[in-house]
Amino acid sequence: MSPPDQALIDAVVKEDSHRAFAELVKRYQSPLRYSLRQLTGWNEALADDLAQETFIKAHSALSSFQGKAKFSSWLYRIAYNLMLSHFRVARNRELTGGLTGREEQSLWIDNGQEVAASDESLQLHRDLAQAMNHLSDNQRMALHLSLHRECTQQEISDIMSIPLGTVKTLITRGKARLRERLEDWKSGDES
Amino acid sequence: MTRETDIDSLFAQLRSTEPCIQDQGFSTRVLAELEQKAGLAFFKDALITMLFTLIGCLLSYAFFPVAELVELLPNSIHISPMSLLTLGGAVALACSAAYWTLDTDRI
Repeated sequence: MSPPDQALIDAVVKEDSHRAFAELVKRYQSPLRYSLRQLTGWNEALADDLAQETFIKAHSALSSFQGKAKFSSWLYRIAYNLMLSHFRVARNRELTGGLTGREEQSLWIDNGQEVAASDESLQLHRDLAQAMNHLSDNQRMALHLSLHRECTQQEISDIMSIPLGTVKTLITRGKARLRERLEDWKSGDES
Repeated sequence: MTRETDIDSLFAQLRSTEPCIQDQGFSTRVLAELEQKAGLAFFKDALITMLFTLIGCLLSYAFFPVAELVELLPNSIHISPMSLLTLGGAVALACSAAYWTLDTDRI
């Protein structure tokens, strides 16, 4: 039987156990990398870089993890802050003209060729990630945590450090915007 | 894209078909990065310590009357058996304290 998260966290904090941390990474890498792909318009390279940075930050801050929230929620909080910070820098570079067109494309959307070459069963996940890319960062995160990860609104509020009322608004508006986007897509398919 | 535009059922479909992303060396890369950062942190700490020690030595040399202090040192020291015993006791006590601290991981 695999040890609980808290036992692994204690081993990392008290004994600096790399094996315990490796176990935590293995346990959470798939859902975290998937979530980050959904939040970055299925940009695999960017999502993996952010996930790697998330685990490194988590390792250095693990002693401050108090176990009040789920470990996964704590990881999502770190990932969300890193993602916001990444997009802020990317936007600033874009505004100051420091980003070439190709760099910009690689930051925001996935390469069409990669999508075409990939497994067809992933197509729905990729399509939704790209549709979600038209929402704001906050709406995307709130919607993903609520509808995909099935977090409660209180958990989302804690992860994103925003008031409960704002979470509700983000989810409602995000859903409406995503619905519009999908309707456009649908009518595009039909025509 | 599926024709289904009901957001909740679309996400339910996504949840049930969420792919399990294979590790493919991801954990190894994270741990390698951690080790690299730990090595750099150790090197940085050592460099900062050495730098400040050097600055401290230079400041001490510039501001302390070293020559006068050296002149204050006695030319000869007379050690009585009692003071030797006291010194030995103090050294033994310091060693025991150091051992206890290291053994109980208090640092």
